[in-house]
Amino acid sequence: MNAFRIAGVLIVMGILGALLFIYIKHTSEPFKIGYAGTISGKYAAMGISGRNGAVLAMEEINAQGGIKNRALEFSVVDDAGDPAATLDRFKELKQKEIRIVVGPFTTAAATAVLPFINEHGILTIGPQNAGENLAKTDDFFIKLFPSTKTIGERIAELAVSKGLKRVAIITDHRNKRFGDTMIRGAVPVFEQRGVKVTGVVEFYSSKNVSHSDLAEGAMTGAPQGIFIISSPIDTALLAQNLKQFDKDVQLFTSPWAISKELVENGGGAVEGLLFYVPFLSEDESPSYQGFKDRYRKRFSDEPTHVSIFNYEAVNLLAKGLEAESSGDPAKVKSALLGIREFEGIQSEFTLDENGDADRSLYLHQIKSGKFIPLQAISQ
Amino acid sequence: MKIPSLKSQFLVMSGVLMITLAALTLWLSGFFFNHFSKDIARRNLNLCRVLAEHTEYLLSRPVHELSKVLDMVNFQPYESQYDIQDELDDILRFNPFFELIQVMDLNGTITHVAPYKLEHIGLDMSNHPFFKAAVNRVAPIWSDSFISSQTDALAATVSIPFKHGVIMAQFNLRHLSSTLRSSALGEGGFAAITDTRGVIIAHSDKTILKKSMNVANLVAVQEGLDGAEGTWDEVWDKNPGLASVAIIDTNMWVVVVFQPDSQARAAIKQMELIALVVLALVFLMALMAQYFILKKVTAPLRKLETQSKMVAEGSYKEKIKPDYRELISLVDSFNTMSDRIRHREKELKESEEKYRAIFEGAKEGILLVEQQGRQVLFANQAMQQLLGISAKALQNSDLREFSPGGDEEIDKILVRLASEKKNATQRIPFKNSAGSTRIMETSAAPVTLAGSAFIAAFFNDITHKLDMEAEKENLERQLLHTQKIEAIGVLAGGIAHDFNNILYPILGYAEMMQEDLPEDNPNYGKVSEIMTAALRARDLVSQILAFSRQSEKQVIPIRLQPIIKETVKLLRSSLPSTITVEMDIEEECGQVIADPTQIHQVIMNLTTNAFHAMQEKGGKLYIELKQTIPSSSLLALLELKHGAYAQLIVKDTGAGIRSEILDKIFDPYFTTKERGKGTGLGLSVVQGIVKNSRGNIRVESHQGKGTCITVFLPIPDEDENQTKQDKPRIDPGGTESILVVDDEESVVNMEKIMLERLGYNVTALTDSHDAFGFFSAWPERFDLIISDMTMPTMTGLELLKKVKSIRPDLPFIICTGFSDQVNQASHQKMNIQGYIEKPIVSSEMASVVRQVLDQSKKL
Repeated sequence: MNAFRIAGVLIVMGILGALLFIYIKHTSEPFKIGYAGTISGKYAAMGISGRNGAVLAMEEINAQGGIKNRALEFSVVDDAGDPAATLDRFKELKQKEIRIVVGPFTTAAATAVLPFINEHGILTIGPQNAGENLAKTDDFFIKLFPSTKTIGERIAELAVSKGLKRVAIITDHRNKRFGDTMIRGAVPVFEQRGVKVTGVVEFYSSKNVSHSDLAEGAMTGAPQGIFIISSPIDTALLAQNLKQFDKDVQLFTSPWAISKELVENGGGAVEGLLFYVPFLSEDESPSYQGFKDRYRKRFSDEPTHVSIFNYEAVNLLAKGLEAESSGDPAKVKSALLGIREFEGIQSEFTLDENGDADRSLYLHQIKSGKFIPLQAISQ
Repeated sequence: MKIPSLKSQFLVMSGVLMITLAALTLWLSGFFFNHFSKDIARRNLNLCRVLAEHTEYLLSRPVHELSKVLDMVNFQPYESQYDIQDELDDILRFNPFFELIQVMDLNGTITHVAPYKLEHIGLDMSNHPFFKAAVNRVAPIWSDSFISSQTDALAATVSIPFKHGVIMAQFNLRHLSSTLRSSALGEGGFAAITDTRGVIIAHSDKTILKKSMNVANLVAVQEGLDGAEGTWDEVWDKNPGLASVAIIDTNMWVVVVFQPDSQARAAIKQMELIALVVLALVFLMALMAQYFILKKVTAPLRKLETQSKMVAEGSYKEKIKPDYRELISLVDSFNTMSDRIRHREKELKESEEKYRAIFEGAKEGILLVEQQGRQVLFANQAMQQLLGISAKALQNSDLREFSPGGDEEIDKILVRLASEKKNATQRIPFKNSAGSTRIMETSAAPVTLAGSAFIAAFFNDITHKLDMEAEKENLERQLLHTQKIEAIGVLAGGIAHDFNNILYPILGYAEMMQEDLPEDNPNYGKVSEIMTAALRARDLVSQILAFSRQSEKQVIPIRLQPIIKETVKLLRSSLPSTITVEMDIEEECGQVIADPTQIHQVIMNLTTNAFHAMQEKGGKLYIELKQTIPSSSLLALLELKHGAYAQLIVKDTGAGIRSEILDKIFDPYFTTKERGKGTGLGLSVVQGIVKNSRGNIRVESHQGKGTCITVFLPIPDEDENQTKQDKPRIDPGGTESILVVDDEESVVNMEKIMLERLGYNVTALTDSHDAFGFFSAWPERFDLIISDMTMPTMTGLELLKKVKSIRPDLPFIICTGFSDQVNQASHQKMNIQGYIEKPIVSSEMASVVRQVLDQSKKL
């Protein structure tokens, strides 16, 4: 009897030990998160600053003990700014059984992977994807960046307020979705307010593109203002060429162009350039200054607004994983939508029922090679 | 102090040895590890420096190429713009690492560009960092890496200031990586170059290069960025290893060489593993060696231990044989020791048996108690028997439980006795298991056993001895008393003899005078008084003799009344005035058959007891005699036959007898009186006398009220009484010749007259010797001889013997005042035909003489 009892106790202890082992192993395993960013190619400068923001957030979370004692582990993939490549990278991540991803970098890339992530239930948090097509749908895409359509509307209203009567638009088709939705926001406003759109110049960014030709084309209708939707360098070079045609023409640009390369390559041509970004430069708040210091220390470089959005995206995901440590994408998404309100570096923001962030837009102007905020306009 | 075990000592020493060995091995291993690690670090750092130098060389080439243009642009106003453009195009064409060359004036406006693009001429680059950094400098300025808008690949610029502006050349960094790939660092190892921000601009692994990683978080890189060269432990992609960094002096870029431990320290690890395996094997072998050595060493010791246990258990048969030469002496010593122990044990056993025999065989009880004299440790057989308790029950018991106690507790007595030097003893009462008290004569002595002090106590049960002594004392007292009585008797006998001789003539002559005097003679009454007084004197002498038991038991019908009265009369003189005597004597009470002397004693004893009971406080002594016929129940109770009884009651108002001792009052020697007041035999004697007389005694007593003793003595039927009283009638006189011999002249004369008055022919002589002479001269002349017993020349018995030798038929009467040789009962056996006790009245004399003469004639 005694031997049976001892054997029974040993078996129970063995089972409990095994369960404990499994539990500890499970709980000590890191959360494997995919990160898709544009690390190479034309837009890599901005992409890398975004990736760096995400990496900083991850390193800080892990340094503080992780999420419920589980570290975050990034599996970084390079979408190279190419939608097709992005879809391939997502498939690779899925094969690695990674079902939560931060990224991709562009709206075009996000649009390309949207059916795939919804089909396979891959929770994707887009830090800086502004495409309108990504919003207002209850899907697996969490959109943290304000809609481009709104930005387009704001730019149009700004142009109207400046008394402009004729405007032209130059847009890079490499990020067509981004540009299109922005134009779809701006053009109706222009039309409604009696501003003539003298032309929409489309181009596909490459080393062979002639910024001079593009400028010339844009200036054909003698516009008083030009809305440039392209990368920082393209915007800078376009600005220089446009100013050669008309030094008084008022330039507007999208958040895409907002980086140091714009100023470095734009020379005096970008002075006075107006743009809306959901980011307040020259912010003296401790949270932003702290972030900035940490970023500089880690990467010996200045953070961009993309860095901030990526940093916030990872922290938002951490909140979701903390609430739902199973790591199940649907549950994490529900948890995030349940939390709803989040503390950003510069301001609070909320997620609506579709997982779209409601954030403030700040009007900036380049003055003396610096991004100077003019006013804050709530979306 | 705890004795260390040989095994543990051995194990500890071996353990220390092994730990030392392990520590040495580990230290050596660590030493070699550090040594080799440093070697590898040095090797990797050297590789790193080589790579840095080579990179520096590669970077010097664009500067060198651009220096050709510098000469041209410095003389710009005089140099053809086309020549400059051609030169730029040539440089670009022949140096594939160049992507773009721009010549800017001092405002940052592009004046020349290769590859040539018209729209770029005139662009404002004044905000560009490379222009800002270079415009006011002399030396070339290198930028950090960036993604080239021309090639979408990593690129960097070098800006060289000149007199009229700045030449900026953008070149790709691909070719740097190809150099790094040539360094063989094994799997997991790599070589890389970072810019001043820590961004990887060249890497031996293309895939990593593409990631544009910033590795400023690595310690080694951070150190390099801070300008330090060296080798650090680093973790890359979760793999620990060694990271060496060297600085490219041209632009402070950092060359990193990382080699994972699996590669860098593979040999060391292998060596460590071998060392550990060897160590483990040495440990294992050491353990095995320890086991076998220990077994070999301890086996003979265990044998010794086993043998020691056997010796301890008393088995000496086995002898140990030494297993090793070193143990011969030890084994011999052990065997010798074993023999000695056996011998000593035998002696000890014998000694123990001897002392045990003495101890257990001792008649005295012996106890061994602890020092305080309380706890019993050992008790011998005798002690167990004395107390009636087994040795087991006695062991560890408290001695005080057995002693009823007294002024001093037994433990203190024992301690005191043990401490006294002289052989002191003390009688101590002990209560045995039956509850009775035994008196022990106790002595004690201090003893020391195994260094501890104890007390040996010896007990001699003297209870029986004391009883015997008490009995002996009683007997001695009784003997003394008897001797006293005897002395009194002897004295009384002597007195009686003389007194009777004196009394005899008085009585005889008084009787004769009375006979001679007519009753109306005035002297008749006087003579009668003389006779009465003489008779009373005779009775008194008789009673004295009886009291002193000088007279033989004489069972005759007697009346109790005079005896009671006489006794009370005797007693009354000695009673105090606080005791009054009341008597109720029934004169009609019949005679009883008894020895008057004994009855006298009965009454005397009973009244004396009553007197003693009231002596202290006074009271009333009540004596009653009456004739009664007891009820059947009373007769049954007293085991008496039916009939008439003389009931004598002696009652006092004294202290009474306690109910618990009422049964014992008839026991011999039982007494409640103080010494000297009683022998304890009084009531026992009374009971004996009464029961011999076929009567019995009844006692009633109430404590504090008094005691009533009733004696029942049977009164025989009238016939029986009468029969006893019937005596043959004796002719009072005769004519025969009688020789009377008595040394008292008054007596012999009186007898002569008395007998002559009866008609006899009397010859009276006072000397017995003369008398025999006279008789022997005429033996046939006399018909009877009456002789005194005690006479100076010849006693009555001697005379008898001589007379009888001549004339055996001649009747012979002894007439004596007192004799212890002959009495009423024994005279006939002595061939004496008659016995007369002086004094005797004439009628009695006539009766006896006549009876003897007649009987002799019948023969």
